[in-house]
Amino acid sequence: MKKNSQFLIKNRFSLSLFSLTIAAGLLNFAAPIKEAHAYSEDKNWPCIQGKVIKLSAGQMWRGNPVKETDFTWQQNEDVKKLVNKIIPRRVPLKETEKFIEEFAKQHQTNIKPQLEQSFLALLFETNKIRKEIIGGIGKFSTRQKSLSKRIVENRRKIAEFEKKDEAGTLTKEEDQQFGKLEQQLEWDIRIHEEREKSLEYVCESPVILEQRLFALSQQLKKFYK
Amino acid sequence: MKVQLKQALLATALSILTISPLHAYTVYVSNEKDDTITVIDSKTLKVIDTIKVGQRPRGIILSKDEKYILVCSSDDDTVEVIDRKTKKIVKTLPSGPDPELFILHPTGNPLYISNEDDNMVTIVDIEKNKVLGEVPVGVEPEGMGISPDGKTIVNTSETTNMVHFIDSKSHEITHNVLVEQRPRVAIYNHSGSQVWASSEIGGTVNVIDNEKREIIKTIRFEIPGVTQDTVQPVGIRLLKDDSKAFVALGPSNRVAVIDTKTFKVEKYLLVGQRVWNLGFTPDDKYLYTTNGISNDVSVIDIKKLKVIKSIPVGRYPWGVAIAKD
Repeated sequence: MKKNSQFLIKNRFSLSLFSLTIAAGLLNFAAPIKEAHAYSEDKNWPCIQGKVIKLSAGQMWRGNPVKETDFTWQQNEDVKKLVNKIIPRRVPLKETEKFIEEFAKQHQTNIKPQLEQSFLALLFETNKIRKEIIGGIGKFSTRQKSLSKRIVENRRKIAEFEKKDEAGTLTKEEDQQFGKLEQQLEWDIRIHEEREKSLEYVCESPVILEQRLFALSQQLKKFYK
Repeated sequence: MKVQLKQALLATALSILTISPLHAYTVYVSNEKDDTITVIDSKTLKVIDTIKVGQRPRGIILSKDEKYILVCSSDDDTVEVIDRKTKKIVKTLPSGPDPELFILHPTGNPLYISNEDDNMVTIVDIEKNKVLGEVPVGVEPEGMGISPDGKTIVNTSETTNMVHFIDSKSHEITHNVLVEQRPRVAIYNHSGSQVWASSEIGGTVNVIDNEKREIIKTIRFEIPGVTQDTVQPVGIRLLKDDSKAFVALGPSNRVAVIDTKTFKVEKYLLVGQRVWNLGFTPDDKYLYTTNGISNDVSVIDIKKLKVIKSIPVGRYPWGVAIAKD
């Protein structure tokens, strides 16, 4: 056997050990999914955090009952301005309170309906953003699952080529395929790992929005008198 | 002027009295994401200390003599024992993998731990630091309860959707009761006549007759303005006289107050976000709720059925235990 070919086999062996470890890891990938759909019934939901698709007024609002179907706020320019100022996550909660206070001062005579409309607008906009994120997480999970499948399948094919290589029955064509598969496997594993690292952050996003809406609702309530 | 000052002082004193519980108890809250326990003084309603513990602390209880705090460090696969005076971990107990919830025998020993990952209930002698036995149960065991006479242990299995009744002497399962999807907490009432079990996905609480080992009532929750999928019952606590039950309803951010005679919900109290577990002060006057994602605990005045305070704690507060001093 040629030196180069020996080197290749050695590399292939270490790669196969590596990919075996990753394949075992991929099986573990099922663990958070199992945990996750214990909270929700969506088997495709990859997050440990429970899947709460839509936030409702009753979860957040401490004032008089409000109707989520009431879209009067869409005609209220002051409310829309306030919501545009306080909804972005980059605006710290200390600042949002100042904006709400200013708004409350401007609408002292008719404060309750104004704050109710502000809450409904916040709820609507937050749900819109969360819906997009939750949809994205679903697609993310589907892509990650199909990538996991491909890694496991390619690992199986590589193992077959390794056997043939050791037995000396590997054809030239198969040898070329072998090399391509190894490269593909390496890339797939890298992408899979990168995505896995971002999963925790991705899954936190809907929760962070839920936390923010709750905090903003409490700030509105302070001036609801 | 003096009169005005006196009136002002009196008003301040009265307002303090109305929001401050009179007895000073110590409240311990496990913070799942911070790996800490927050210590709260129940009189001032202020955080007085933070104790660093193992990874992912969840279930938390006190030893019978209340000298020690026991906490499930789920990701370390141990139960840690903390001296309440020194606030130091004095020993770790063998717990089996991924301990989540546990309960002490009414005599103070042994400890029964549910191990989510290997479908077992582990029985540990906490004085000898020794595993006394393991009981195979359904898939993903979770809630642990024990009858007041200590003869029967109840355990829920999340995936099998069952409440298992285990004989505490023989360590054998004697009865299985099928409940709704993903049962979490199971708890005996104080008279020992009923077991209350919450089903997180089912969105219900099942009341089981202890003698017949049959469901006698399924309680459902309908909260105005809240979508049904966010109603996820988990923690349950009953007053010592068994007159009222309190149920934590997860992402709906509500605690339900139930009349135990009629099984009707009297009130839904809005607390913090994702309310999971509950704990009464020893005098039954206040109820503490751990709010998973608003990172705080809410304090409920039982007589007024009102939330009187929200206290910021660590990240992802999970369990709560309250000591008499």
